[in-house]
Amino acid sequence: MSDEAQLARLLEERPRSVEAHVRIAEGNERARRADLAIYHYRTALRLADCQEVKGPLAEIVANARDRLAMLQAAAHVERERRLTRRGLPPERRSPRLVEALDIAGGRRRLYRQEPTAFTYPGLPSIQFFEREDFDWVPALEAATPVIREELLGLLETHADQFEAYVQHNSIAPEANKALLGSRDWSVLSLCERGWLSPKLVDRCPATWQAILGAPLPRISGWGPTVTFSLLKGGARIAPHNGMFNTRLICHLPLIVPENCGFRVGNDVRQWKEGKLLIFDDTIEHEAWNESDEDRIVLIFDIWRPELSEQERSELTALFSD
Amino acid sequence: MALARGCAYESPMQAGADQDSLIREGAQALRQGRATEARACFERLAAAGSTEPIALLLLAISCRHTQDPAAEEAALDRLLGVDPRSVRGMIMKADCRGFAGDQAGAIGYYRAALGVVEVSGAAADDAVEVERARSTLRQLEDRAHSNREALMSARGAPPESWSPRFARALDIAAGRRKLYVQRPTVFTFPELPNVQYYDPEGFPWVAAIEAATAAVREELRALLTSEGHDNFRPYIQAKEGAARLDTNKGLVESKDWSALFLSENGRPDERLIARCPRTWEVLQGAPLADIPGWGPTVMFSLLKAGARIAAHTGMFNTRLVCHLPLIVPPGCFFRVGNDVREWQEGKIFIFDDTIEHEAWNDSAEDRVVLIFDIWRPELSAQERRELTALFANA
Repeated sequence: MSDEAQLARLLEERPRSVEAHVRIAEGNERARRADLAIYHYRTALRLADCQEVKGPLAEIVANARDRLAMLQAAAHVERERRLTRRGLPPERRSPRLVEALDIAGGRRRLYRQEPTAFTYPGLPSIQFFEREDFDWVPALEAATPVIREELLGLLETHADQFEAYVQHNSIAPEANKALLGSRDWSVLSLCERGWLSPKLVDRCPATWQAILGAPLPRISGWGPTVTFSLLKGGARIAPHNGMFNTRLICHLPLIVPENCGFRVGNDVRQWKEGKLLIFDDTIEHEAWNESDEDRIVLIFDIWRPELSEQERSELTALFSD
Repeated sequence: MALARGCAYESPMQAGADQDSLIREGAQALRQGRATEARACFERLAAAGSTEPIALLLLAISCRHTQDPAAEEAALDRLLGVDPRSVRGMIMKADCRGFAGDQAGAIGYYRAALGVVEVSGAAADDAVEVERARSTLRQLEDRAHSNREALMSARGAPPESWSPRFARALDIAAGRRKLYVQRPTVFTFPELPNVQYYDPEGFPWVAAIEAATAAVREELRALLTSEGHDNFRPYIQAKEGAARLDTNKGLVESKDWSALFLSENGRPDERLIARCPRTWEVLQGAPLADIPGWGPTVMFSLLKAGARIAAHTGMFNTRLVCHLPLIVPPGCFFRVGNDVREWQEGKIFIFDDTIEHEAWNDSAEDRVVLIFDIWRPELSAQERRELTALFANA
């Protein structure tokens, strides 16, 4: 049997065979089809990532990784040369093209939504949304000083009522077992899954008023959650994914020491006091505070802007208790 | 639940001799129906801190035989801690969750177990359990779906009123449809939604092209009459053979799937265009990606009676592909992701070809559609200029 026939049979029997994809990649490399070689090396490595790799296969996979890195680097250089020659040096490119080139060059990973509970189809995987695109943002950001004043007031009287964010009854605590029951990451909620905390809202009237300008999902027993989130000096929240891709999560940074960071997918941003971060929490994200002081942000969730009025009312009917 | 059978559970030899003999002793007790004794063996191992997956699995099984669900689930949690891909472990964990009334948890663990089977295959010894997991999962998913339908109806939104994406979301939640994502083989532009078929209503240029269907078909027929099929050439050519081995190897150099190009990768065929002036003219209303040496591609695509194009994905997610069906015998189908549709003459499909798709013609006649590619509507004018600079092969 010819090599090709053998390979075809192998693929028919085991379409997810890492080895078969590596061999197709090698064939394309010999035929100078770098683009398809890259695709098949990537497919092979993606398949290898979700199975146990040992013995001779481990060597094949390691070799594939090297070949892929080399091919991607060469293609990257070629694309850079071509774009610059055609009047598009790096500083003149739009953000999505820059990301596309980084992904093609293997310099950034492509992250997708991976909701743990419910997936709504047809929505784009956007890591951070830009605050300029939401008309309710300026008013909320303008209220930052008074929100911070109300928070400081709460810290004087209610500091002991911040509760561990990761509780035994949390649905997806797997990634953050170390934070289970820990006050390293704790929250004080004005509203939790749609349930108001009237005493706290009374203490923070300006905060509550300001937050009502946002498109909060009002779903009995489900949302919104509006909460002061405290990450202790030195603490870290491991990478994890949220449950529902029908909402976005917002952070209004209130107290932000140096050396804090927040990653969503392949994009790391810094909290800046008074500047909202709006992100898709069903894309893998993590947070850290490498300072000696506590970091506090106001967290709340909003409807995804892509959802129509009808879709929002359908989701409300589905999720409410 | 089948009893542990025969030597399916012989232990690996790297463990200590004591551990090995205890595992053997316990496995034998389990086989002979002495579950309490078996459990004692495996509990001893567990108490000694054994992280041997097989010992933990057998401990869970003997706990099940001694009717101790709490201990069973604790053993499974330990097992999944050391071996998160244990198919049997996940299936048993799913059973436990279901037993405890946690349907969502049960569905999650059954799905995770079957996900591992899909990637790595199932061990022969697991086949019965895997089949049982499949059937239990289907029942749980069906029940969950009925519950959601009833809930929505009670809240004034019965299924027939649902918007299309909402209906698809519930099908995905119920495991009735798989979620498909873009997998471009060459270039991935980020932040674009995974939409299988776009609604042609959203594209103002569609109506004019659909209205010209009869004229386009006339031009095609005139070509077929005067030139026959000779100028149609196999869509997949041998030089691409190595690249295509994984999908449509049967179509390499085959006229089962052939095409006649008015423009191929941005290179127009002036002779053919002169013979199809109306077709060419009406297409200029579409946002064709005009990139030297790259696009557009405009072609009559002929799928022979009985032929099938196996599932595959396209190269660039910066474009969408359109079909204007011209000659469609009954029994021709097209699948993009989880959505199978039937071509109807004169009704355009606009779809994302970087989502897995396939086509088949189960009729006794040839099927012909006009295929062309357009810019994705989500790309800004600046992004289109940038991509033109990137892709042009001039």
